[in-house]
Amino acid sequence: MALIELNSEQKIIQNEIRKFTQAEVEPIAADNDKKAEFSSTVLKKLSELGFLGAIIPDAYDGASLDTTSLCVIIEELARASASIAMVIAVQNCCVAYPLKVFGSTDLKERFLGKLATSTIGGYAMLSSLDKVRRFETSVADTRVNFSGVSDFVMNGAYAGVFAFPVIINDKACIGIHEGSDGMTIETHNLLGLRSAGIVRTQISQITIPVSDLIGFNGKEVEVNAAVMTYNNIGLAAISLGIAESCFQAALAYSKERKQFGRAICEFPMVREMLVDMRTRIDAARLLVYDAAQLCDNGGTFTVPANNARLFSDETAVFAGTTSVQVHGGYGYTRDYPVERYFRDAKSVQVIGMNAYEIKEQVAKEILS
Amino acid sequence: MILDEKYNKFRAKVRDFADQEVLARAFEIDSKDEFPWDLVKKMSELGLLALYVPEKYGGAGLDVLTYAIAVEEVGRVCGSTGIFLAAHSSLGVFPVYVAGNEEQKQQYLIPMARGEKIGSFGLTEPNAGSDAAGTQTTAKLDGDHYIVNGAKRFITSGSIADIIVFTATKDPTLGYSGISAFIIEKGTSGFSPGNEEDKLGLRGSITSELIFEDCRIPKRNLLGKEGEGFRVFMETLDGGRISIGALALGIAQGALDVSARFVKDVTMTGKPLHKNQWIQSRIADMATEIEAARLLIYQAAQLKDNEQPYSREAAMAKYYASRIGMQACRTAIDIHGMLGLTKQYPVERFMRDEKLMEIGEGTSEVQKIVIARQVLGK
Repeated sequence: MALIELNSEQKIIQNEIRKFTQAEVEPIAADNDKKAEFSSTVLKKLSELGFLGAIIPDAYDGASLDTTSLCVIIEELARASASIAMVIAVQNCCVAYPLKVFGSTDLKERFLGKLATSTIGGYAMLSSLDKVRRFETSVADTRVNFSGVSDFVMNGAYAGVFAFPVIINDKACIGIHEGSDGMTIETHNLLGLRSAGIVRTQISQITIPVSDLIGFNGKEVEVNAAVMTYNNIGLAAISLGIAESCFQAALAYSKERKQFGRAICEFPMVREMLVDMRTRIDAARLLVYDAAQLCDNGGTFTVPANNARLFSDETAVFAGTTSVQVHGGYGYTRDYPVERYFRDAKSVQVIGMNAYEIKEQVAKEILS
Repeated sequence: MILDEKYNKFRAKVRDFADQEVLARAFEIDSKDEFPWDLVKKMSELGLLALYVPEKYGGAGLDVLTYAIAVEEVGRVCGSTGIFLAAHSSLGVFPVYVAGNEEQKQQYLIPMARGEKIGSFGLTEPNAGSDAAGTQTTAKLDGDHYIVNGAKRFITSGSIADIIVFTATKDPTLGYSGISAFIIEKGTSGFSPGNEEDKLGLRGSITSELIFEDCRIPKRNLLGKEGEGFRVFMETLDGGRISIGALALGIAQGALDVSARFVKDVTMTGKPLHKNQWIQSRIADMATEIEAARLLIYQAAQLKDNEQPYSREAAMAKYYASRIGMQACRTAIDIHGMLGLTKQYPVERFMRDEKLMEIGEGTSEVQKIVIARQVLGK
């Protein structure tokens, strides 16, 4: 596919992750979705391959990959399991990224190595809906206290390190905390992303030094906004992977399923569904990898990242419902994976920022 | 559409039942894959199971519009209960009512209409979905019996039904003209219900196979004349489309109602969600499309009640209601954000349930073919 040109290193990574996904993730994805868990063996293998710390610099034992490569990894994983792709996206985009870009040397040294080699990072996902609970914080001297409930802690079921975005003294920052002592975890029963380890977390009291806050006394930057924007590229890559699988499944099924004496891919209405999926997925791919490349080239990427997310998410939902439609009654059952793709696609779309917020950000930028 | 007061009164009665009895069970029915036997009993007591069937055959003696309103109101809180009602009334009861002889009506229609027996309809096969004429199940006459062999799939209430109308052909190479409709009772030797499907939604509803292995059924169980099976199922599906449209409408209305309540209760960064124009735009789209779907469905129902042709209108109603219904359910999740993925709110269930409405009783693609054919002439 010539839609985007990957360099030779990126192609090697694509090849490697694709082989891994087909061999290790695909066979277990449906079962893990049903049980709402993820195979720890697969997580371990992902860390052995260096994908846990894809964007972490090699000085901290990371793979030191660029954002384009991260998107390749996420997209390929998402083709088999959006949940495992989400784990890797959160690990890199929400936890490793702010540490790498905005963290103090001390924080980097303490946490990046772990995240690159062994430990999953959790992230308390923010929502602008006030009904979604978030941790309460208070600052006393040189320490910050966290307490209360966060409704959606991403990777929470698997995490050993946690990133808590908070606002302290009107300043957005991210607290980093190690270990899950003092936390009570409650699993959700979600529509999709069921194996991604998204949990409700209650904290009676956790205290960290102010120096373990990213962006508190440091750079004049909205750390949380930066994470959200960067994460939008990751989420867009998940949607892209799901959408591609929806298309591939529909394509294969439409050639195999016969009605009225011919394969259903012979019928114009089915062909149109295939073409509409293909066109939108190709367009989404251009947007996702364009945002990633702009980020790799060091430019601003707020608008491209947000547009990529909006378009890719919508494409995945379209491809999900369309692929189920092509499969007919069979697509409505768990005998085929497309109902899972559809559930995952709709779920990815509402993680974190809602479409209104994303569009507002883009509107502000294009009107300024 | 301005409805006669009797319809409004009826709607209020069913809504009351749905809100008081069905709502409390809907979550469990979905999450535990529970067939709602209790609600079936209550619906039967309320006389909801055969609303348009004359009283002399055990029905309520009302009309199709009343029936559509009942399915809509039950579907508004629980798709699984709604699909049972739709399948029983439109697919179990209707073919016997429309094509059965007096003896068959006495024996099968009355107990189904009264809710003493559960009805089902076996048309779809593993290799005959949209192409219903591709029926492979065979029924060969042998003296006073037909010997049936073959399998059906995706049959709503298949494994729990007491009475099933199904189609079979005397020769698969004959296409439509070889197909006849039959009635079979649960427990008939050589007949078994087979596996149940593990589905995206409607998880409280049972969808199963029907397996026939040298199954002998008496000749008198032929429904209509031999070779008329095609006409029976086409008529059944035409009517069924009104009920599936009504169910799609009900689920969409449920998604709108829950979303409207949510945006009135919830704030976004301190501001009431319902005052946000982006939210208002979505609510307005949902409400407008739902109202348009309602008009199409009621129109099709009234045509049927007036014994006028309604096949085109029923196809339009089902196609449109399921399409905008899916959109409404997706939007409802968007409005609820991450909370919409949890079991705290019914919107994710609504979306899973609603997807079947674009597939069952003729996919959207089949509806479009039906509509286009009628618009363009043959």
